[in-house]
Amino acid sequence: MKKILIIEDEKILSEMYRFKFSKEGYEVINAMEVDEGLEIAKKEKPDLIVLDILLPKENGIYFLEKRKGIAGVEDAPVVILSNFDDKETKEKAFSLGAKEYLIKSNLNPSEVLEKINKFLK
Amino acid sequence: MDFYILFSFINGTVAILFGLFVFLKNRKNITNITFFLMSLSIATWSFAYCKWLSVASTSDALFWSKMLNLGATFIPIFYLHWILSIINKINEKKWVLMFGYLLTFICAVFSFSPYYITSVALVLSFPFWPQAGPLYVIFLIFGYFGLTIYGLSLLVKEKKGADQEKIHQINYVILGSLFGFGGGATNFPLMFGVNLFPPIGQSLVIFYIIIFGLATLRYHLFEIKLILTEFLIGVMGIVITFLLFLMPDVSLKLLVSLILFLFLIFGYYLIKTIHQEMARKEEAERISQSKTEFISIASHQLRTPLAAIRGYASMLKDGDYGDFPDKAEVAVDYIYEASVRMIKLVNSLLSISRLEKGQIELKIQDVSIDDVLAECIKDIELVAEDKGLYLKYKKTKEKLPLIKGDPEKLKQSFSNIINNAVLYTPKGGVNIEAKKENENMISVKIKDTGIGMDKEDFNKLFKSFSRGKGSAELYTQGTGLGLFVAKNFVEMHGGDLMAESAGKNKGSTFTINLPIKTDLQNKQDFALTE
Repeated sequence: MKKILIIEDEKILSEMYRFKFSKEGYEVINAMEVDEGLEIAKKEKPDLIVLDILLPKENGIYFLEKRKGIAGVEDAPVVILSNFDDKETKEKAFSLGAKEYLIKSNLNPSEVLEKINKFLK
Repeated sequence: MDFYILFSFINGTVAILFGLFVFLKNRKNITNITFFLMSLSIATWSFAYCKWLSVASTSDALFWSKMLNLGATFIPIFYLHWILSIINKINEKKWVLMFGYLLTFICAVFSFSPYYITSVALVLSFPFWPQAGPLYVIFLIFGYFGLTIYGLSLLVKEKKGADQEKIHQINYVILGSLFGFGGGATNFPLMFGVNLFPPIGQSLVIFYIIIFGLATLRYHLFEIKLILTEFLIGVMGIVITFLLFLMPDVSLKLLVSLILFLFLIFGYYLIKTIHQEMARKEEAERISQSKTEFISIASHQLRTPLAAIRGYASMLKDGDYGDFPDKAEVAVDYIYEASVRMIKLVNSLLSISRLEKGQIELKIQDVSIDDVLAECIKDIELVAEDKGLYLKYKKTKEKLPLIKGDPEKLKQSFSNIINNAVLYTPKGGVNIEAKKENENMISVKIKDTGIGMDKEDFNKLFKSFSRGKGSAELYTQGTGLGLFVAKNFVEMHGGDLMAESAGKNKGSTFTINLPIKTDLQNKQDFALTE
């Protein structure tokens, strides 16, 4: 079973995506902030990471920087799923290896699922 | 000779007054400082020019001709420094700047030696025209022409991708440079014994300083108005005061005093009025800026709960939580549709705030207008069908050529117009037609049989947050942002958007003209998020 790590501080949303992705047959682990996400990622070695940008303490860009050099985490595809779509942040995220930058409010969970399925086949 | 003395005196006076004026407006700004330094150099050159033309002995003429050339030596480097500060490239071009200053420093140190000016000689009607030494040739090649042409080339490059206001500012500077340096250059052939024409360009130099002064003050309409008014009132005040002292008798002195008094009162009120006008404009800009910031923050905060409403409603609709009664299904559909509408509104608000901040850029690629229109129609045909409206797309027999553009933004523009057409058409329908208008233009016509527009609607049609009178009464879904966004996007592609209507209830036609070949630059950007 493929593993997805969701780093998202809004519980109402992380639960929604967890439900949808689990239904598709993925094992889903939730983290509320970057440090927790990094710890879980190191331990669980997820097949894909869904990452929010605006998080408590550190932001999603910090996560992308910190994962560099961590075996099993560095290579995992990262899909940004955020409502924050500032141009510079997007550029930075892509330059740090993010595969996609999705806007939460513009997509149904089924559409998000379609996008991430691409990276899990 | 008097002609040259007069013009040099005017040049020097205008340069020193304008330079000082610009400097006092903002003493810490590098643009104002470099402009002031350039003005000082021009003033040194001009006043020394006057003195040089007035002296009788060869030794005095040689001294003053060296002095005037010392002033001229500093003009190009301060010019380049000023240009770099205008286009924010001082750091990027610091090596060129350092080279320029080094060259200027060397020339300045040797400016009183024979290496720079060898002697003075009779040329045309000038008894003591300076003759160039070897170092002066180096100054002309690398300094006068090298630095100024380099500055001009940077300005021309900067025009690409600049906004309209900046382009105006740059055009002023280029024009001023051509007047000033072109006029000044008519002095040089005589320094090498080439006397084909007199140095008449001297009279053009005055325009150079005025045009630069205007551009330095950032091409702000109100500031130009204020600067010009203050400047002219100051000059006229000095002239009238001067006249006052020249008047021979008391009665005339009294008359001129009265004129001066009235002039000062009117001048004061004129300047005060323009100051107030500027303050009002600044306040309006500040409010607009705050509004943009507010919209941006509010929109991001609104997206999170909306994502949850939309997400859960969509999952309920998809049956992820199992079946539920038909009645509830309708309710869930309504919740979903309402949330999507709300998200579109939030996205439009974000688009507006970005347009106002100039943050939207195009992601240019080859675009098929046929394909973009087909996608737009697919998105809205169900809504039209539900309303009992026809939605016809008339294609030309010949395939439309691909254009250079941003497909996402073009789609958003077309969608906004087609959505409006469907929304504001109670019966009948919408005809869409796309054709190649000429070798370099595709036109797309969206014609509806809807509620039409009157003159009042036209006036505010493309403004943000405005909806037609009839539309506001009859329909509640429009945000008043669609046409504003569409027009802005179309114009970013070098096209235009026009509207026609025969009047109320007589339908409307929107025409979008798009150039086929454009010089739009591809910039790293991300599609808008609607």
